Amino acid sequence: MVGVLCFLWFGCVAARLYYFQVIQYVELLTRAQRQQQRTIEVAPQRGAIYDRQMNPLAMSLGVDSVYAVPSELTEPQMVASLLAPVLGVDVDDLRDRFQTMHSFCWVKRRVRPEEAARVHDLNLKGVYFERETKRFYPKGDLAAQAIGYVGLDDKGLGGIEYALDDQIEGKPGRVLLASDARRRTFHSTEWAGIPGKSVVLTLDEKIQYTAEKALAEEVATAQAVGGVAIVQNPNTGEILALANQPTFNPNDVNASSAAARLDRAVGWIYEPGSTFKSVTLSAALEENLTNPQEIINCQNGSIVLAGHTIHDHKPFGDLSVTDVLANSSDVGAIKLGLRLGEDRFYRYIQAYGLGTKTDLELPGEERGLLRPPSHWSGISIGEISIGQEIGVTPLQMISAYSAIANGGILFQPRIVHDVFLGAHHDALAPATGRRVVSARTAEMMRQMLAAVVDHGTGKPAQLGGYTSAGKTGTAQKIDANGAYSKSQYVASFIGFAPALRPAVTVLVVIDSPVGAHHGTDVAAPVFRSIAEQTLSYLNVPQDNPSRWPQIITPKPAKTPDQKQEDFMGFLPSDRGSFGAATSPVQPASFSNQLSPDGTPQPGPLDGGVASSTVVLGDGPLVTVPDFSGWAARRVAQECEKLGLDLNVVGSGLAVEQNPIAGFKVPSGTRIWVRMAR
Amino acid sequence: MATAALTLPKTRRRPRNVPAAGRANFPEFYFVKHIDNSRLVREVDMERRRECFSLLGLGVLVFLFVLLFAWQHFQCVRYGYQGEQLKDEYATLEEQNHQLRLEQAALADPERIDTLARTRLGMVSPSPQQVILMGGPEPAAAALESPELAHNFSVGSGDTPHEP
Repeated sequence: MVGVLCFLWFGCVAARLYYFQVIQYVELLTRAQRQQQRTIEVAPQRGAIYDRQMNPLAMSLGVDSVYAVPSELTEPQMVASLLAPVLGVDVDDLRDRFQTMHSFCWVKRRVRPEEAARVHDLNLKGVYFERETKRFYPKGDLAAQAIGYVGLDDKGLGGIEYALDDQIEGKPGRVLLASDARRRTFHSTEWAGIPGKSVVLTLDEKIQYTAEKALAEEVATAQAVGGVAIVQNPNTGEILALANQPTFNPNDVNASSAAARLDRAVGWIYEPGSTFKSVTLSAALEENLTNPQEIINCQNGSIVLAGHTIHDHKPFGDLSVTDVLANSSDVGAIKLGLRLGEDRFYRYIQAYGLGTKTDLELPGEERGLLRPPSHWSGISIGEISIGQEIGVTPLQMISAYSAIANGGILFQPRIVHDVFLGAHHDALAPATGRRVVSARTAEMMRQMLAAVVDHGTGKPAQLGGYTSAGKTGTAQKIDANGAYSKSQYVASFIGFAPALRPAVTVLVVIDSPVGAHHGTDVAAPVFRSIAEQTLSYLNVPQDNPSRWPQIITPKPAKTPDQKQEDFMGFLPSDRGSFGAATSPVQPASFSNQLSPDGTPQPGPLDGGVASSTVVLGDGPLVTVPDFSGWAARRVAQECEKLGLDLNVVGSGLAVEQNPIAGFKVPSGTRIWVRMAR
Repeated sequence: MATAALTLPKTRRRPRNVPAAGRANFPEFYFVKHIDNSRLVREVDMERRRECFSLLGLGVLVFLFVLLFAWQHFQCVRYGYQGEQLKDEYATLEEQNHQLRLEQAALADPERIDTLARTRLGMVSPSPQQVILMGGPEPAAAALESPELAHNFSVGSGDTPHEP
């Protein structure tokens, strides 16, 4: 009997097993997989954005987003009232969403970690977390317009974030998760997505900060509507800094205005005013229609053109072409423009890249306003010669000046230095350029622009320790009636330094300053501030010690400790610049006393200069010889004879020196000479 | 020893449960014959024994196989949990790494460093004569390439205002 029962029991089990494992197999397997497995889409990690020194400017981090399944909420009202204060959302809005939606609704996306932790602690049924990425900009508003920003769905909406969104965004992946009854994952299968590529910009965050700070101070002082400052390497076209005012914080883009998000460097058209005279004069020089020494009769400051009288800002008589530029004579510039003629002048304007997009890798670039000669009026050639009746972008203007600075080649400006993913670097097009004017013309223009800074309208742009060249500009804005405003101006200065071997070109444009409105007063000092700090930061050798303030540290008798410092490369008189070569921000002063361990003692921390380090220099000046092609021994003998300190780098014959030949320096000055074979 | 039973000839048919007349209580005797075969030895069937052991061995093997399969399966599930836990840990650490890099970047903000240097350390920007270059252009300047580049640059075939 028992055997029969056992047999029946086994038979039933076997039959049931057969039913489940064979007949119902597919359906049950499907149901099990539906319960255990879920496929989630993994958002790709958006690529980072770096400056040229690989300092991160934009990064993405994984954060939690909170969502609810309203059908699973037992008491939606209570859940809404619990979540709203924790997440800072409107309780009524949340309650409405719980009532109107059934299967899914976001509570709040990309919450802060502490918010996520508090929601997690509430342990609410029907409330879940989804992992998403959030964009962070660790430097806040630094280079905000250039970097851009992203929207809630992580899509780039401005700047590089928008322009290179396809490459930065990446492709999403998928993960198949198998979970147990407690929702613990015990197996996962990944279909990896493609992470976004990282972008290295040509910007340098230190130079960018320097430019932004100087610009912001001036815009605030001048109560201007806004401003833009650009620093460019004239020899490659790379943009080193691109500062805008007003600006915004891309971490909180919703709090910013459209005006603050505008990248004025590429998306703002203005009349360049007198800064445009460099285009006019260089074209005339290139066409051999004049030379820097030619005397131009400026007709006591007025000229009649097509029935209109154009006045200089003050009456001038005879001026050399150099002085026409130095004094910014409109009459002189118009006369040279007239010599060129409309068609030829137009071709040069086009050759300088004005009226066409530069194709910088930033969105929203304007091409400017340049009408063909067929649309010019009788006065147009005169107006355009002095930078009116033409619209340009700041980027176009700085590129044109860089062409003059580098010897006549107009480079396409670039802001993207590299695009990479892991070890794979995208091949970017090399710097391209085209010759606009000859090297000789560019050289003449550099000298003439240096004269502007030396004794013309650009005096406030004189740098300490460096020569500089540039041009001021003050243009009237067009008012609401379509006429030139008597109260609103655009003040600008564009220049480069050092004047003979430019390392940087700097543009400063201030929109609608109140009170002082000339480029000389408003923009040139900003140029000076940016250029001085940038050149020091880039360790560009100083070429004009005569422009140092006449405060020279004496050369005291050397102590053993100080001799040790000499060996390390520090002059005894350089205590005030201890470590100067490595940081743009330096200690206020160091006393001449050394601590027992030999380290310099910091001076007073009130920002003042310690009196023990400063005396007036009254010794004779020595003219620096030209060491080109000299052997090291001969250089050393000559320096010894002249009482100059020497710092030789390399071996072979002298190929470079600082200060350059011909400069007068105090005895004891260290001369840097680079030798090469 | 034989056992015998005394029986009378049937004269007439009577019911089975009614005893015969006059012999109603006559006993019946049964005798048991004891057979002792303890001295007999059963012959071993080696063929059957082999079959039996083979079957038993096969059963054990099947059992071990099932045991091994189950053990592997549960080990697989266990390692699956461990693997997922390690993946989570890796993701968490990677996230922490990103957070730390972000924090480092925020702490290295030039504006913050500038403010700290000026307010806490009393530093100021150096004047031009305080800046002495040590051994020529440094990496930052080198990154900008030599100004000579432009002069040596081979001109592209772009527009040129030069007239023939």
